[in-house]
Amino acid sequence: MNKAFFAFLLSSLFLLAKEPITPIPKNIKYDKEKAILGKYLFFDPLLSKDKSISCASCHDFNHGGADPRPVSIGVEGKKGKVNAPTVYNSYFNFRQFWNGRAKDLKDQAKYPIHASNEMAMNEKLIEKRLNANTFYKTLFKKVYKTDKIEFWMVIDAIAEFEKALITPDSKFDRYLKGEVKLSSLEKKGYLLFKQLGCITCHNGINIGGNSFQKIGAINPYNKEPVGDRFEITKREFDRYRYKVPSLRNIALTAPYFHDGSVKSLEEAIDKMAYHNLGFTLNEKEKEAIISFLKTLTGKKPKILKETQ
Amino acid sequence: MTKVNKRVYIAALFGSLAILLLIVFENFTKTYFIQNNRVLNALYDLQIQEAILDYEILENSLFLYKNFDSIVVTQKNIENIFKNIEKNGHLKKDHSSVYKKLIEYKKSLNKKIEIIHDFESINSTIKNSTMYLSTLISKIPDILDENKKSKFDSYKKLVIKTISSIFLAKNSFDKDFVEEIRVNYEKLKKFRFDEKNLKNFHSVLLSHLQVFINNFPIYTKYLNEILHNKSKEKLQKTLEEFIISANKELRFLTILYNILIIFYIASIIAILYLMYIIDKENVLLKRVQRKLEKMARVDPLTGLLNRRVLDSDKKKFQYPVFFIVNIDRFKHFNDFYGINAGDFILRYVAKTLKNIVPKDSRAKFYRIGGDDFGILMEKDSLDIEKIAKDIVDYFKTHTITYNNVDIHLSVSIGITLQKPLIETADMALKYVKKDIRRSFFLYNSNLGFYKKIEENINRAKILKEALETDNVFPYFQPIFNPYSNDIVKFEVLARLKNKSKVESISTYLQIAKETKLYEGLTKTIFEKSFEYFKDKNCQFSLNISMEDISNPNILKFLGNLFGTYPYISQNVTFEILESAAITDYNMVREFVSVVKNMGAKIALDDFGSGFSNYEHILNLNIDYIKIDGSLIKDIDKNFHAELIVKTIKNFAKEANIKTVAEFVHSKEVLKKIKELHIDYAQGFYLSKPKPQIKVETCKKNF
Repeated sequence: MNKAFFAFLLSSLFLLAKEPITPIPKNIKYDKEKAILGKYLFFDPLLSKDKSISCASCHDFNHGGADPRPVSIGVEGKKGKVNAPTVYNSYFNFRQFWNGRAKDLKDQAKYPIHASNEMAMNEKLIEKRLNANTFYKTLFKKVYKTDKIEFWMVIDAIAEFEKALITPDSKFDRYLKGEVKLSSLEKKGYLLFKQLGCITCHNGINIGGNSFQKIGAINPYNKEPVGDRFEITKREFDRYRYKVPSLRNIALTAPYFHDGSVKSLEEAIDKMAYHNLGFTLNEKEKEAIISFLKTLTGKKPKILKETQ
Repeated sequence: MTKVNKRVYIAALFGSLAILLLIVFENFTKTYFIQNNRVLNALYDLQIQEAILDYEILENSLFLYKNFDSIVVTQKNIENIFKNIEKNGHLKKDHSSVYKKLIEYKKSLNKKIEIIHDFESINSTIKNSTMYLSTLISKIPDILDENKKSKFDSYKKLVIKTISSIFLAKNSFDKDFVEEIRVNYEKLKKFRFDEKNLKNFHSVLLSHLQVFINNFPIYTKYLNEILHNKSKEKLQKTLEEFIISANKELRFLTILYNILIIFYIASIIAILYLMYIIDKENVLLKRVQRKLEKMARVDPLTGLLNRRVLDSDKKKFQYPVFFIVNIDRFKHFNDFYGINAGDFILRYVAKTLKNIVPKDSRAKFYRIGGDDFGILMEKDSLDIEKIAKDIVDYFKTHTITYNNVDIHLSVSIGITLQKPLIETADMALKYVKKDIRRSFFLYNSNLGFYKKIEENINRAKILKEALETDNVFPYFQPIFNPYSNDIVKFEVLARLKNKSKVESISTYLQIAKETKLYEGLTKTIFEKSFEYFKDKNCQFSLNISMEDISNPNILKFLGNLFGTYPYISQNVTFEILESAAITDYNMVREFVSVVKNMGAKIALDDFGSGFSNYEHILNLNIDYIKIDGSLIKDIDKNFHAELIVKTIKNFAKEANIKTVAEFVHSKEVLKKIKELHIDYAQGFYLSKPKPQIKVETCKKNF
C-alpha cells in the first residue's frame, strides 16, 4: 500500500515540477480579528523599553516592508548588525532571520522584543503594560476570551498579522498565471535569471527564502561575516552562509545584502554575479535582469488598509 | 438464602462479570486499535515523507534547477507528524522503548535535514559552475596570432575535455572523474595568456573548475549521506519495535478475551445448571401436582373417576353414550352386612364394570355418587343394549362372597344418548326402577321424563307453599244410602288452593310421598277434619295410606287427635288406600285393631282392582269395602265388571262387610248398583265434594 501511495506521489510530483517559481496566492486564510490586533501591536512602540520603537520602525511598509537603513537602530539609538529583511511574504520563508535561527514567525517575533539593541523588553513588562491598557484589554478579550493578557498572545497576534502581509498580483505572478505578458526585456531577464543560475538559489514562492547559501561561493566575499549561520552552528562550513533572501518587491527594499552595504539593485546584481557566479555581467544583461526583478513588485497587503 | 437462590446469585455474578469484562474489553480494544492505528499511520507517514524527501533530493541533484519549497513542505510535514505524536502522548506513555527509538530517529532525521541544507548550498554552487562552464565553451575566444595557435588549440582541446568530464562526473556522480579533472586543471593552470579577453576567460574557467573540484566530492558525499542515511533504518526499527510492543498489548487483549470467554462459558454453565436444578424440582412438583390432580379426579374407594371429571369429560365426546348403573337395594346391603361390605360391593362393581364393558369401546368409568356408577363412551357402532344386557346378566349370574357370605347383586341401568347426559340417564334409571320387568332402559325424549320432572318439581313447590300458607283443606263428598237417599257419611277429600283455584290433591300425592311433604299433608287434613266435625254429629271417613300406617309420627298424631276429640272417634272411618298394594299385613292389622278399639271403623279403598287378597281381608276385621271406581264407572255396560262386583258383594255379605260403590256418575250406574244390592253409593251423579256440609243431613245410623 505504501509503495502504491509513494508511486502516486512520485508521479504527481513530476507533474507539478514545472516552473521553479510559484505565484503568491491572492488571499491567505487568517484570523482577521487576531491579525488586526497584531497590527496594532506591530505599530505600537509600547512594546519597546522606552516606548520609542515599534516593529514598524524597522519594517517600513512603504519601503517594501524592510528597513531603508543599512542596519536597524533600536532603543537608545543602539545599532543592529544586519539590515532588517522585509516582513512581506515572510510567512513563506522556511526559516526566519538571515541565519535562520527562528523556525517560524512566532519564534522570530520574540527576538527583536528581547534584544537589548532592539526593543529591550521582557515579557512581564509587556504583559503589565498591556493589562493596564483598556484598549488592548477589550481587544484581547475579544480574540482570546480572557481578561488577562499574556505574552504568548502578543506574539501570536503579531505573527497572525505578519501572516496576512502578502503581496500578491505582481506582474510576474500574473504572467505565471497567464493573465499578462512580459515585455521582451523582462522575458529576456527571466531567461538570463535561469540561464545564469540565479534560479538555483532564488526559487519557490518567495524566489528565495527556502535554503541557506554561501555568499562568495566562487569569489570570496571579503567583508566581515556578520550574523551568518556560523553564529548558530559554529561550523566552518556555515561561514558566510545566509538564508537566501526573497526577491519579491526587491526593487523597493534597498539597501541590499545582509549588511545593507549595497545601495542599488544594479550593484547588487554585479556583486552577486561576481561572488556567486564568478563572472561579470554586461550592461544589456543587467538591464534585462533588473527589468525582470521589477516585475516582482506586488500589491500592498490588504490588511494594511483594514481596521477593526 | 436457599440453595437455588445462591446459584442464581452465582450465575448473575458470572454473567455480570462477563458483561463487565466485555465493556473493559470493548474499551481496551477500541483504544488499542485507535492508538495503534494512529501510531502506525504516523510511522508509515514518516516513511513516506522521508522517501519523498529522498526523492526530492534526487530530483534536486538531477534537475538543473528546482523549486526548494517542496523540500521545505516535506520537512514541515515531518515536523507536524512528530508534533502530533507528541501531542497524543500514547507512544511516550505506553511504549517508552519505542518512543526512545523514535527520538533517536528524530535526531538522525534532523541531522539529515541539516545535511540537506548543506547539500542545497553545495549543489547550487556546483550547478552554477556547471551551468556556467557549459555557457563558457561557447564563449571560448578566437586567437588570431598564428604563432600561438597550436598552443591555443591544445588549450582549447583540454578545456573542452575538462568541461565534458565535469558533465560526465556530474551526471554519473562518479568521483573518479574528479581526479582527471584535477590533473587537467593543473595542466590548464600552467597556461598563461596576455591577451585580456583570453586572460579573463582563463581565470573564470579556472575558478569555476576549482569550485567544482573543491565541491564535487563534498556534494557526492552529502548526496550519499542523505540517500543512505541511517535514519530510514532507525525508523524501520522503531516501526518493528512498535509492532512488537503493540503485539504485547494485543497479547493482553487476547488474555482478556480468553478470560471473557471463560466467564461467558461459566455463566452459561451456571445457567444450564440452574435450569437443570429447576427442572428437577419441577419434575418433583409435577409429580405432586399429578398426585393431587389424581386425588381430585379419582374416587379413592373404587379408583374410578369422579363426578367432577365426568362433568368435564362429557364435553369431549362427540356422540356420547352414558350409562348410569345403580346397585339395587344397595342401602339394604349396607344396613344388613355393614359399611365394609358396602365398600367391598362398590369396589367389586367398579372392577366388574371395567371388565364387562368391551375394551375397544374406550369407555371411561365414574363413580358419580353413592351406588351410582357412570360409564361414558363414544357411540360409534356400539351395541349399547348388548353392553347393558351383559352387565345386568353378569350380576344376575354371579354372586360375590364377602366373609363367607354369598351376596346376590342386581343392577339397574339408565342409558342415554341425549344431553344433559346425567339427568337423562338418571330419568331412564328411575324409569327402570319403577318397572320391575326392566333392568335397563334407553332414555327417549318422547317419554317426556324431563318435562315430568319439571312438573314434579313445580308440584312439590306448590304443595309445599300451600301447606305453609294453610291452603290445604278438606272437601266433603257425601256417601248415600241409595235406597233411602239418605246421606250416611262424608268422605274427606284433600284439596289445595293454587292461585285461588281449588285443585284435587291427587296430582300432588306422588310428589308428596317422595318429598316427605306427605306426612304434613295427612296431618293437616286429619286435624282440619276433626276440627270441622267436632261439633257435628256426622259420620266421616279419612283416607289413610300404607305410608301413613307405617309412619310412627302419624300414628302418634292420630293418638293425640283421638285424645283431643274423644267423643267423635266412633264417627270416624279410615279408608285404607290401594288395598292391592298392601304388603305388610301385620302392620295394617295392628293399626286396625288400635283404631277399632277407639271406636273407629275401617274401610278398604279401591277394592277389586288388580289382585286383592280376600283371605287377608278377612283377617283384618274391616267394616266396609269400597269397590274400585274402575269397576263401577261402566258397570251398566261391562259384564265382566258386573261379575267382579257381584263376587265382591257376595264375599262381603258372607263376611258381614258393607259395600260402597264409588264413581256413580249416572242414573244407569245407580240403577245397576241398586240391582246388585250394594249398600252405599257415592259419585258425581249423587253429589260432588263440597267445602261445607249441611249438618241436618247427617244420619246417625250408618
